[in-house]
Amino acid sequence: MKIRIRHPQDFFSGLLFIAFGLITIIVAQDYKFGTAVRMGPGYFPMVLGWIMVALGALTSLRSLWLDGPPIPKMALRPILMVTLGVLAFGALIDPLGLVVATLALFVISALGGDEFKIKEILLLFVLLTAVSVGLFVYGLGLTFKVWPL
Amino acid sequence: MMEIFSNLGLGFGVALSPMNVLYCFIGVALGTLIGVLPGIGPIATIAMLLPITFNLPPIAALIMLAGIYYGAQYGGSTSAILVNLPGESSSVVTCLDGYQMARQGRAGPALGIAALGSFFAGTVSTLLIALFAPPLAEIAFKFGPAEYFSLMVLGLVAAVVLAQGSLLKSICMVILGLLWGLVGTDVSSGTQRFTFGYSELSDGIGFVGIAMGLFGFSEIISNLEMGQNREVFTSKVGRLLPSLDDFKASWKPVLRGTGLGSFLGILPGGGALLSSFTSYMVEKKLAKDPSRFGKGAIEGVAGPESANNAGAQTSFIPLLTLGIPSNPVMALMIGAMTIQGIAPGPQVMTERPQLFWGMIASMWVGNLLLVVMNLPMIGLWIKLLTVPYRMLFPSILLFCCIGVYSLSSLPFDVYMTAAFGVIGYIFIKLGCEPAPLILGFILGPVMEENLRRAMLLSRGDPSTFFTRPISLGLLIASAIMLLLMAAPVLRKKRQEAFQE
Amino acid sequence: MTRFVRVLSILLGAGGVFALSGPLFAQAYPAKPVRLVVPYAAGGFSDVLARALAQKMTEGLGQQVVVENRPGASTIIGADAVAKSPPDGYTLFFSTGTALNINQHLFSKLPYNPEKDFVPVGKVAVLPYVLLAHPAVPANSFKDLIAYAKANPGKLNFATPGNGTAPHLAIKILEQAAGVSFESIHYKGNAPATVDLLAGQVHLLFDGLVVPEPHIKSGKLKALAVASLKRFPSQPNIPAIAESYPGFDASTWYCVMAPAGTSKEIVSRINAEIQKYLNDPGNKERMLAQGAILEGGTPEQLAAYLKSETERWGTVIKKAGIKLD
Repeated sequence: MKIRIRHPQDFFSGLLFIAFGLITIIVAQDYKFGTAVRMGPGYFPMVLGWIMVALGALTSLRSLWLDGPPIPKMALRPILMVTLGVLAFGALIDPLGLVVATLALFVISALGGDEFKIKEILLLFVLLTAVSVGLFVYGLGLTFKVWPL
Repeated sequence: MMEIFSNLGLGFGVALSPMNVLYCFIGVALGTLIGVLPGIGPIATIAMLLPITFNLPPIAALIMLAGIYYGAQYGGSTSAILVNLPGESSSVVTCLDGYQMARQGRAGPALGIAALGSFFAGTVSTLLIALFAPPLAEIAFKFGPAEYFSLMVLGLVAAVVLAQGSLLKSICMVILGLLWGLVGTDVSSGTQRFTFGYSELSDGIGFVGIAMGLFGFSEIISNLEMGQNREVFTSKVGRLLPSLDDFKASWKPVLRGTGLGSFLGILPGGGALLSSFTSYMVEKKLAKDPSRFGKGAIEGVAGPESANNAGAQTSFIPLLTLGIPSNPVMALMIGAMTIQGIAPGPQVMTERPQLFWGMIASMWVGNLLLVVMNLPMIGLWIKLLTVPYRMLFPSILLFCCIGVYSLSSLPFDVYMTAAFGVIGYIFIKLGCEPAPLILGFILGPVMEENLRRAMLLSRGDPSTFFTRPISLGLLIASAIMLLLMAAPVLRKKRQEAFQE
Repeated sequence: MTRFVRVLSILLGAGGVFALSGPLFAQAYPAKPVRLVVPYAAGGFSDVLARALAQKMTEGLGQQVVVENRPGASTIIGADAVAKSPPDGYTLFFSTGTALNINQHLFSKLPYNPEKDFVPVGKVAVLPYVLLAHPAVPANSFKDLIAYAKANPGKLNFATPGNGTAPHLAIKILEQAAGVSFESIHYKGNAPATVDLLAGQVHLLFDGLVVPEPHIKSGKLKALAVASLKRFPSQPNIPAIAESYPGFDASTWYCVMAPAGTSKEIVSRINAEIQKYLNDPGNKERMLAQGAILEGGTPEQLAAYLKSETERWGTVIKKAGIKLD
């Protein structure tokens, strides 16, 4: 009999769960397990890790005879650009301040959309920078670095 | 009984003075604003306003700060409904059906029922505080570590109901949430667990980052990939207020939510958090057609929103009657009180009746102001959804980034949120629902802590969970819930067997 | 392209409106807002105290003193942020003993050096702990308690706000001094611990005076002793543990530190501002109501105090065998 994955979503979810469970178990080796009375920091993670692995395996195995839809197609550009944009914001906010970080976030993440209009984005940038500086820095008094200087 | 009326009369006399109404308004307006903004919460705002309150009369200061707190609960549901961003942990549930309603052009009714349900819940729970605050405070004493553990078990069972898909997978998601909740310093041993050497992780993964990533960012990414034929929100705006049918569907959930929220809000250890989840679970179980939930059922907004607001009000009970904060916001309120030279605690009620009853009355005034202020705002919010998505989404991202960064000023937290966005996107593709995970993440640490504490206190005797009546009751309730959940699956299996 | 230039000019115009002050050289200190980093979450006592101090300093310095909460990792995150800041007087550290003389004994490695990365500016306040007991504990005085604990080793449950926290270490020095042993039950902060103490789930707790005071008055809690060297001014009936065990001292104290390399002039300027806050009788009274005693001193006094505290906690922690991480 040929083994066939009938429910790819569940199959890969199961693998993901198993992976998280295994990481937990491996890392938790370093923590004291303790006893049921004096549970160490490793007790709960270890038990949960094994439960995770077991349930993950069950999910994957079940997908061999349970039918399910295929995994929807993934588009790379939106996820890449949105993530990069947010990462850029995080990387720039401390050294260069809010204005530069916002510009980077807008330009990069807008590239993830299907229409990229630079003028529109720059206008939005000016508008929202003014709003957020006014709102957060002056209004709510958050201690943000605003300009690179 | 007469005494209550004279007390409330005294309270309203204080709360309705023009100056106090003004401070109440400032408080709830500011609260709504920061509640709508993702990430920025009442804690940071109240902390920043604390020095300003030094120079205010004590009652005005407390009325304003309390207004910020419950105003933020109101605002939090707005961004949950409009853009799938839970501002507060209790708004996670509102995302499930509220955002779906918004996508179907029913943002108006969703916002409306949230506001009206919250107002009703706020009224009832304010009355409850006025009538029964001291005896209600005793409930907190009945909940020791064993009871909290059992309550968390019940909460986790409830978490499974949040999902619409396969039972096994939602259990897996709860467990995964529990695993993520382990990250950080272990309370009992001080050991840094799963921090991989990053001191930024020593207090655990931030809730805001997870919620924003899994709900907000992943939603943005999958909206973007639909490309040209994307229609995130139906172009027809629909009505602004709930219809008669909406009210018919909602009044019972509102009542039940109010009851649940009022009760759970009293418990200092995360009780208020549980209330919206529990309410959702109850509504889904009671509904004639549970499959509508998660697809824009108005009951799934009405119940949890009422529960959440009732819980926010009754969480003042431990503060007012015991002087003990049940959450960080309450800790700030204590700070504000002590700065004003008021020792918080049971004596406030007798020694400063004007302050005590004035504050309680102001909560009702504040709730009224919130409804009056928010109902006309609905039209404005809906207008916001007509902004082209290509301009809407960078703006949402910016407010999220600022919100996350403002919490701790750590770029690391921004990176984490981005990472959770990717994970959330993968979850969408794999058909894994994040709501049970979030609940596991919130409840897990509380559960572990109390399990270990209970075992230490009983010196290792696990029967402590079964011999204490409240704990036993909660565990029996969990078992019944599990059976109810398994029953439809088993029945289906049997029917399949018959057919073959 | 012209449109683009126009957008840019609008941008720069907006920049002019929002820009803070220009170059900061050759101006008298302080020429811009000063950050006071608090390594604890907003809302705790340390935060309240820091904000009160910052407000007074703002008046004196003529520049905004902004409190910045950098909580986490038992003050390590906040301390590290200050240690890596430029020593220009615009970043100050509102610290407790945890960051300066306890962490180095608990953690095998710290990202900052508690002795070399900071210079002392001035002490601000002391918050002595009170030893609280649930009424059901069969001991009505500190001496009774020790006798009871000796007769029933390990029977009493002592709540703490977390492993390795200052109150937990206070329990350890009490155990070492009196030769008794308690079961330490760890909570996440003192609030949940207090609820369980009031409910009688646990027997004992070390806490500041402010939250338990009304419950002591109403008889729901017993205050058996204070953990400072002397009795508390507003509660002369509660004995000090030091009366039974000379030298016993466990409290949280607060001071201001600056990054190492900060000039002497700036340090003494800030110290003078702190003294202004401390000398205000209204502040003294207000803090006393919260269970804290304002207590100042010169940077040199603080340096000497830090040195002796570091040694003392090193011995206690080694003896108790507590290790985190």
